[in-house]
Amino acid sequence: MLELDQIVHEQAVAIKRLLAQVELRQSPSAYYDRLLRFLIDLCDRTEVEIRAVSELARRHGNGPDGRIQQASQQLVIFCSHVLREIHYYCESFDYAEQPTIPTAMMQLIKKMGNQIAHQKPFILRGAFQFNYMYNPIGKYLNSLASRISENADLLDDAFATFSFPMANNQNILANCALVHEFGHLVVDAARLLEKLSQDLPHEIRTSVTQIVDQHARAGNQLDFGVMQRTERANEVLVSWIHESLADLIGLHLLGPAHLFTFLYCIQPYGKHEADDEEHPCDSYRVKMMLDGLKGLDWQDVIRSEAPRAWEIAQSIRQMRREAGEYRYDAAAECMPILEPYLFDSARTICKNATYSKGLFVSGYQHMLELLKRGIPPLEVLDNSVFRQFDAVSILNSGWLFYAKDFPSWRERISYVDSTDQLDFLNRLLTKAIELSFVQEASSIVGDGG
Amino acid sequence: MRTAKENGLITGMISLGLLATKLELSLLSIEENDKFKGNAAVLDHWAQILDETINFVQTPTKNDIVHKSYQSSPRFLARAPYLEHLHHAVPDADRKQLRSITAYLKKMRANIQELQEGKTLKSDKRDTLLAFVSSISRDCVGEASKFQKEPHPKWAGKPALAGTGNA
Repeated sequence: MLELDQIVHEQAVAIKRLLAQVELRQSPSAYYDRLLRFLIDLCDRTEVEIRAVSELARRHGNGPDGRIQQASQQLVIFCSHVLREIHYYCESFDYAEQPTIPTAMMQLIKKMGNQIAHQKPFILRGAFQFNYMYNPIGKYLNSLASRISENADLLDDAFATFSFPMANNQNILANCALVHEFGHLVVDAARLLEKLSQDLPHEIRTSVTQIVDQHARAGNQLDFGVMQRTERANEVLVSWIHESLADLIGLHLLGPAHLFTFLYCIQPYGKHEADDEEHPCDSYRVKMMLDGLKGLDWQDVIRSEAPRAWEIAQSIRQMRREAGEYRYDAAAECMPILEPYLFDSARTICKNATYSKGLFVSGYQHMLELLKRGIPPLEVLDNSVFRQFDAVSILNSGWLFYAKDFPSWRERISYVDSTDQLDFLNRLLTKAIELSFVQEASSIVGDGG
Repeated sequence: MRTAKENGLITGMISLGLLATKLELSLLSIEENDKFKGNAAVLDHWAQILDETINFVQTPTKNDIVHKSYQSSPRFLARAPYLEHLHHAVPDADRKQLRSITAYLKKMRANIQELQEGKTLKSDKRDTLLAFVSSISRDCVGEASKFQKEPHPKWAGKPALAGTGNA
């Protein structure tokens, strides 16, 4: 008991030291300071809790069968877990906002945040791992805090971090994936799942329940009971709905760029991925995105401006239902029934921020012309005749660049040996960085053109 | 990096475990014919969890998206293995009967109710409740430890708490 107690205290000291260092970095985000105060407070209260339980154990001794000591030890373990969770998030903040994404992209996400998520706070976090992730840490930390003391609810429940690969931080096209993660925040902050559940007609609700029940009853009897299988199938379905809504929100906010980003992210693997507990399979997601783009009247633009990307998307769409693709049958069967309601839900939440075809047509031709002249970037930086562009135009040119170049880089990556692949990928990344230089130059120069 | 689901699960487990151990300690420190002196908020939390769980167990057909926003609720995520545990805790003969789990949970809820009302629990009731919360607490220690990430060596004040999951 004493040893554990000591270890927990030492962990608490290490965390406070870490918190102090994180605090010294003076992040520009106002919410960041609030989060730090919350963590320091939580760390203090965890220590108080440990002291209280140690005192209780001393007062009551071991009891008749040592149960008090055992329970005290367990409480100390839980408190050490809490401290480690704080530690875990501190490590995340260590990288937060360090090599950040291009300003225009950040501004775009912030603008979207103001428009549709009512200024819910978030922190961008660069990571070494090549992945984009949404972490709703406000919800997690509030949950831990409320069990330690009853009066702690300082954080916004919708407070979240989005992580992005630092290696790719200047890549405009890849950064569009952040808008998908932002979609997750919108789903949570606007309580879209609850709203969806209220709006769902009775017959749809019944069909979904029946499908889940049917699959749960037909499942492997040796694994779990019917109730557990039903519960797990529901969990998978809810996760898939969350993902699909995030995809559709991204699609409304960014238009085709969202689809191209998705293709860009999955293509290097050379195959589409099967479904998992959190995500529907890639081909289904592409299918939904294509349907969504059709609903938003984008399909002609993609077909003419990015024919190769259109072709690839269509071929991935056709891959549905291949062997092993659907491991979660109940969710796969329910999704098509729920689709219209998901589209409605995304449309309603994004109504004022939807990126329409009109915005695309007006911005891109001019921007593309400038890009042709503007690369390489060093010339752009010295050139004062560039006009300032809105973030949407920048995105247009970003995705168009890749969409037009899609056939060549995809084929090159498939057939060349690994050293050349790296060289080629490096060139692609450099191009993306050049694009962001154009954006940066245009925003520095201001409205001079 | 852990996935969002793993984050939810571990937080849920720690929260539920903390709550179970707090109640366990309070119950253990009650003397014979003594009143509950623990934190009233802990009792309220348990009352809420049990009410929700009883509702959940009694209405398995409603467990769809329509009624629960599972993923957004760490408490729910914590409940998945908790329900599994309960399922195994009931005698073999009753295992397939959902009603027996419901009856068990209702008994626990009634005990909590008595404590909330400031009544003195009889020793057998206290022992049943104690067995219930301590088994939850033990389960949670194991589950939370499975997903715990070791602190980065750069910041750790001490090497990882090796083996604490088995305590």
